[in-house]
Amino acid sequence: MTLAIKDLTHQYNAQEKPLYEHINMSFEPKMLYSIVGQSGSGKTTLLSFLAGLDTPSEGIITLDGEDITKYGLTKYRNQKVAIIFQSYNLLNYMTAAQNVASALSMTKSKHAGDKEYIYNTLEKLGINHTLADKNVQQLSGGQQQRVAIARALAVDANIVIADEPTGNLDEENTQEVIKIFQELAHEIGKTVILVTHEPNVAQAADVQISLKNRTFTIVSE
Amino acid sequence: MDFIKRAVLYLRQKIGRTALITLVMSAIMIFVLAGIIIQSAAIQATNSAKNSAGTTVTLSADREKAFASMRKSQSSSSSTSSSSSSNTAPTAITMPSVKIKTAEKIAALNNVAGYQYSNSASVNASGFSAVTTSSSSNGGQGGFGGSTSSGDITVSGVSTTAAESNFKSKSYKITSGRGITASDKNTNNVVIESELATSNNLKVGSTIKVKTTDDDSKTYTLTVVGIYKAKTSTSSQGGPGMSDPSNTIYSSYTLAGTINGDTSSVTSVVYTLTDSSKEKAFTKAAKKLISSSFSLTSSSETYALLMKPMKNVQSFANKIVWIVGIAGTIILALITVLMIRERRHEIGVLMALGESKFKIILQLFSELFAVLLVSLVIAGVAGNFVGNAVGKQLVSQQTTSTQTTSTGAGFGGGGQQPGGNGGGPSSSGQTNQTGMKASGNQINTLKAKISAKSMAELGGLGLGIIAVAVVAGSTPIFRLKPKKILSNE
Ligand SMILES: Nc1ncnc2c1ncn2[C@@H]1O[C@H](COP(=O)(O)OP(=O)(O)OP(=O)(O)O)[C@@H](O)[C@H]1O
Ligand SMILES: [Mg+2]
Repeated sequence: MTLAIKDLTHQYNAQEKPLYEHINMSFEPKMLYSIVGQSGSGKTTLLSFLAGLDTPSEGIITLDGEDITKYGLTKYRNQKVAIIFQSYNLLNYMTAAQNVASALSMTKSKHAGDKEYIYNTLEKLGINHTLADKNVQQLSGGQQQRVAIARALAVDANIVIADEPTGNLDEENTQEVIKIFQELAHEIGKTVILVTHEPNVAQAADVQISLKNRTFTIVSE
Repeated sequence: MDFIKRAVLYLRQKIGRTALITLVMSAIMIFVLAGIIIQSAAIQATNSAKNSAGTTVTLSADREKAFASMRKSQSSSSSTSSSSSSNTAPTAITMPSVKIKTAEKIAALNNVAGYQYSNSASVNASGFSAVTTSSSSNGGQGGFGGSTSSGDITVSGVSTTAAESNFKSKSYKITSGRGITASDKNTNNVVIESELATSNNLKVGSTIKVKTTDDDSKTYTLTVVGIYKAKTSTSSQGGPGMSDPSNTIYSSYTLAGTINGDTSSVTSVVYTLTDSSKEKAFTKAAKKLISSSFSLTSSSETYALLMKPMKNVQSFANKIVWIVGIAGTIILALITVLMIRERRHEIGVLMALGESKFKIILQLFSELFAVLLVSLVIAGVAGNFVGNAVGKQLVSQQTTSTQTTSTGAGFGGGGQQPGGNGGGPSSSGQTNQTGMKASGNQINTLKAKISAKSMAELGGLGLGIIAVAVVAGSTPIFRLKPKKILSNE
């Protein structure tokens, strides 16, 4: 299942210079990609196109050659892609476990309603049973970030997109999360794309991409 | 059913907000429900009154004509001799009475199911004393031109007491012995009020004597065959110049006629028709048999007057339902829209997770639906109280104003002329008031009960409001891309 960017150009404002011009890139399964770039270079914006949260000024995103807007963005977000947001975006009236559980039932995952699976996934990210049953507003920033990651890991989607997933994590947790993303790509076979500022996280990826001067540069492969 | 689970979690977690919106919704629902209750109660009361009334037509002297001629004679007399008119009470007028022969001719017309004569005479108690009240003791009778009615006892002649309006409306009740029946015709049997009976130690079977009020007074010996009780509220009605209703004794119309020295006529006749649709035809045929100094008043006219307060309540309730309905819809819709807009970030998250707009709407809708159900229960309990209170207030207000109007109209009536309802105490003002009072009682018992139908109407309205509000509140959010919703919080 190849995810591809086709001739993408985007500008938020007609007066301003485009964020990027005529970018082309494809993302393959079983691979972990990292995107680095200066703050404001347009990383989050790019992820929003890949995640079907927005549409670019020009160009398209394709999945196995088909334009995702033709597939239907809601359906695409529901079935094909799991997103980890820079600002977590958890549902604040739920516990950690309920957040994961509702993502599973919303996407009609094969694990929907499987409590053991839900708590195990959270456990993998260091959220124990007690924390899992707390309202997410009572969790620390790092804990919330890990719940957001658990939510994306738990669903069946084959593409995982993460915006600064380790931004609020300590060194130990960061290493743990890197290992999880590598497992997701290499063992489960998903396409994993993450944006990061941290060099050690970027280097853990199979392909490192730099967003600079309005274009993509593949740093290492 | 994931959206229902989310709705439940939301309502539980945001309990303060849930309580607040429940309160707002309940408050609005209570007002709407109160309107619906009053409205349906008013309709019900109107219908039941209509059914129980039956159609009757009363034949009596045309009082307006009689008063008009009285005023004419008064003004002419005062212009000719101003000194004499200054100290005399308004000129006595004589109302023409209905000849029994004529009445029987009318009774023979088609569609008459039955008829009831009323006749009235004024006499003085002899060997027993009339009941005196502070209002009637010094003013006496005839404050308003009572010609022959200077006696302290009123003999109200009827065909049967059962068909008399006060007894029919249950304002008066036989408490011992029996009422006047057709078999009492040409007898001296009477039914007296319990207060008069107690104060004179009279029982069923006792005899009393009364004297006529004219110069060569005759004495009649009457036999008490029954005792009735007048509701006390009625006796408090009489203003100065009205006799205590306890001093009204009921007899056959023949006795009143004998006392008046005219056994061939009565003051009024009430015809009960077999079918209310025949009223016009009957009136038309009957008019041919009477002179222009008589009038025929159908109960539907009286009924229309009596029902005026109900109609007013009904239209007022209609307006309440509409005003509160519209204002409530707008307020609720606005609050809901505001609450949904506040939740745009959450909606953005759901959209980002791939939840369909339809299911997001369903979640918002189910939350509000749960709130609506609770509000309906609260409104159902509280609305009963509010409806009762408001309904009572409205009815008493409306009834009072109508009473005042009708009493005003009836005033100036003199002599022994019963009003449209016939057979009441001698003062026409009082008769009118009694009739009014009877209807007042009926309206006061207005049953403001919550029916399943009112609750269903209310629920339907509530559903409509939240459906519109949810769609109106979420549509502007759905127009945006999730990225946009999530980036500008
Ligand atoms: N909704 C928007 N409307 C207009 N301009 C926007 C919008 N979102 C982002 N931008 C602009 O686009 C540029 C790129 O923003 P973006 O969030 O993609 O950067 P980023 O690379 O993710 O930065 P960071 O590393 O700080 O998260 C910024 O200059 C930002 O001001
Ligand atoms: Mg960013």
